[in-house]
Amino acid sequence: MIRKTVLIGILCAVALALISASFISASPVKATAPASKCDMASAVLQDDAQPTEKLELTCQYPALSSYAGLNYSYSISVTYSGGKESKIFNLKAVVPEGFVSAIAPGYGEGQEIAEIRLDANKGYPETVKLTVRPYAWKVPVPGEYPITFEVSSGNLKSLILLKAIVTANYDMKMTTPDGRLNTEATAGQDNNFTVVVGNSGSADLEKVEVSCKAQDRPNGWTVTCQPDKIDSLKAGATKEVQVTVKPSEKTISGDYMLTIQAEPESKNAFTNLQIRTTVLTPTIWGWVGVGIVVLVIVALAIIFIRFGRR
Amino acid sequence: MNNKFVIETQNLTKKYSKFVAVDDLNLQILEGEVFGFLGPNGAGKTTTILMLMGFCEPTSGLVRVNGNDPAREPIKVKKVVGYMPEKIGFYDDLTARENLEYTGRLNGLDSKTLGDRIDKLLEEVGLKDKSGQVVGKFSHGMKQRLGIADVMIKQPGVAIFDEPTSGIDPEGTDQVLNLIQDMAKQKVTVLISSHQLHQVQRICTRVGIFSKGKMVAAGSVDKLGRDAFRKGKFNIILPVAQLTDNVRDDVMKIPGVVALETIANNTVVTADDDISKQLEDVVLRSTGLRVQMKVEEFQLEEVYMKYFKES
Amino acid sequence: MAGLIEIFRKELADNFNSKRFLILFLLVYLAGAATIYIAAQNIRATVDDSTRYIFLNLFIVSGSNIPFSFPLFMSIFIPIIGIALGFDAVNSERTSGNLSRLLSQPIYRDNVINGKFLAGLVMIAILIVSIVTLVAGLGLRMIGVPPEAEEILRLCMFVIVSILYGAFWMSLAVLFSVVFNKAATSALASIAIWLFLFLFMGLIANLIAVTVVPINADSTVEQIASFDTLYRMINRISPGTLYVESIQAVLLPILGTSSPTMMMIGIYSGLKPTPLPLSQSLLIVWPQLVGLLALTAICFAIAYIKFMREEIRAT
Repeated sequence: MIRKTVLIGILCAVALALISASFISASPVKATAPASKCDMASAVLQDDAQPTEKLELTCQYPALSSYAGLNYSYSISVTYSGGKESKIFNLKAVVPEGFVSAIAPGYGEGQEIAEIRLDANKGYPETVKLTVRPYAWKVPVPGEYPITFEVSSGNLKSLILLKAIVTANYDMKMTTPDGRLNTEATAGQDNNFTVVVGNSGSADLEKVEVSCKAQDRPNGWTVTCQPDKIDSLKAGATKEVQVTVKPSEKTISGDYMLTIQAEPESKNAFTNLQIRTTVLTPTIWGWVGVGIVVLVIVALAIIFIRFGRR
Repeated sequence: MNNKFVIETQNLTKKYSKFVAVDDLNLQILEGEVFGFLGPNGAGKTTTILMLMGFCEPTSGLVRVNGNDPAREPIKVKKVVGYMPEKIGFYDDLTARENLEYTGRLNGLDSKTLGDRIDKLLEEVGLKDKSGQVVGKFSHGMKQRLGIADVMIKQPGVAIFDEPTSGIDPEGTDQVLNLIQDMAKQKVTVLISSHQLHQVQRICTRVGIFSKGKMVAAGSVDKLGRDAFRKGKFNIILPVAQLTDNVRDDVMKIPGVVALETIANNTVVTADDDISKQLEDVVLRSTGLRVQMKVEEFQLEEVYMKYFKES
Repeated sequence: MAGLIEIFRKELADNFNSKRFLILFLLVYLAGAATIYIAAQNIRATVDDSTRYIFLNLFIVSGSNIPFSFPLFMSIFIPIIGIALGFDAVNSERTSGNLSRLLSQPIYRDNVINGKFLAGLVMIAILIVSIVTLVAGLGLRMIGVPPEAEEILRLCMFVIVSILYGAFWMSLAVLFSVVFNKAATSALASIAIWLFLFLFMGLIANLIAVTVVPINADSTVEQIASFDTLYRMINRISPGTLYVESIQAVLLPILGTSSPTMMMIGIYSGLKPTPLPLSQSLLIVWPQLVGLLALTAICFAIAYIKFMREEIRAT
């Protein structure tokens, strides 16, 4: 339970960061790659002048699919053959706007590399790891993004076409405007507080229902949310919801937990927020109680003075 | 109000199963008298007092206090009768003043009257400076004196004291008796029970002698003496066996002489007063003899002892 | 009448000034504090949605690991208060030599015993009313749920029954104070009776009931029920039982006077307990109340007659 809350909290925090990032960024790059079929074979360019010299790029998994915001790591095998000696090649990745890339050796530490020396007569290929990742503050719109990886040396050049498929990330978060997760309420009266429902995913959410289910509130309480349904919540957008809590007339003072939840109609995202509600003694009864106690003490004192000696 | 019997009993009898505590008692006490109940312990003095107070009902006979039956109309009786029991007790954790206040309020006195009376009475009994002390710290004599104040607080017409001087030192006894005597001067009819004869003798106008439930004698101490010995209070013994008739007549003419008789070789003249001087003159004139005389004053004790020997 | 009032006032003043009652007061208020503390700890757990009388729960919650509840405390403590108020009422006056002095004042003799009894009764009333209102006031401050009119009535009933129970023990102690000349004897006699009823009555009742209606594991519900009826019938000789049953019916409207055994049977047979209205509760405990009242009246009457008839003997 706690772990879940923490997780949700972390997710919320990340989502919040991402959402704020998306406010800053311009509209993300649109997917341009038309190819829907999986192009397993890589494009190979050959240098005519030196027919024997050959550079080949292969990737076992050229199309990666992931949620927005995560890394796409491609392992690319580079095979150089036909040359007389070893040669230094440039490495270059072309990524869509909004993404950054990093090239690293296939094995070993995360040192970024820009060039690679290849031995022509080596029997096996070198592996290079290309990591593509959107900018931290920018969540790419779901779709396919083409990535080109190029290895060149002089005229010898080879490129491979890779694909990053960004799937939609549906996520929500809920908080209160000031971050306080507790509120005070008076029994038998309407008590208002505000929660903020935010879309921290990368896709729009439709018909988000905000509610406090019966099992999530003490018996006999009424909890209404205004609005109780948000027609559309754009990715990164937030919406304030007014929650009205009316604890039942006979609620014993103390702390009670309320869970407000939000869920779009499509049920592909969910969030909830536990609010600790402190039910206060209604002022009048508090005073009446104190009054009774004072009255009894005064009455006792009077009786003692009146009827006791001295 | 003259000759009105404040206390009157007729054939008053009290039996505890077999034991007869008071037997056919007829008693009449006039207003303003100081009447002493004399007798040993268990003679029925206290039982009589209890019946006078209405604390216990007579087996038979009549009791009237101020014309009221204490058993039927206790409130009327208790309004006028002040009673100091033999073993008087006070609330030990209350002060002398508070104890008196309580008694006063039970008698329906308002605070003003009560306050004045308490001040006056405490002064009279000599406890003024002790009025704020709790009674628990009082000596027995102080308690007895406080008891007198307690009786007086209601300004009674009749005050009954049951053994007021038992167990206190002579000085205390004196104080208590003086106080009672002062009361009598305020036209209070006093009934005092005691087995200490001297005191009774000192302050009583009349005494009743109790023995085994009966009052065997009643009257003034003088009269009792006369009754007991058919004589006056004083005996003057002349060591002369025979007196001539004219000497006898001369002696009898002395005022106060009650009787003259010959006992053994002595002539005994009984008189109400000490007439030894006159007697001496008479004898000297008649006989020319100067005789040595022995004067005996009767003490109540002797009367008392006589009755107990008789009964 | 004046005499009665004076004696009443004096006795009341005595009570207020004595250390005995200072201790009793402190003890009672300590119990009130404990009640509030336990209520604060446990009332949320005891009360659920179906609880009709939340406010009454203040007075009946018991600690989950502390064997204390307000009614239990009262049922033990009230006899002590009653005995403490009555055991030396008459004999201390007698031994201190105040009685004959008191009786020689122009007051009716019954003023003495009535005044003392009344003062004791007022003392008990002050103690019980103050503790109940204090707990109610603090409880109201704490839980914030005002009592319903019926709850107030039920609390009043609780107070009245408690005063009545105290009056019984006091009248018993007063009776002993008339009968026994020594205060220590009458105190011991009162405590002995209390201890006997408190410790052994249940045992004796059980013994008799088992003899008359033998029950074992195979007994039918009817047998158990008749055993239970008999057992409780015998137990009702003890005023303590009458008191506990009365306050149970008053404070626990669900239970009425049902014994735990019958409750179990009721639960097994699927009867769902519902709270009784006050009138029904009262109807159920009417015999108990009358019994308690009668016992009090009998004790006091005997004490009264004995005191009135008693001759003040020469010591």
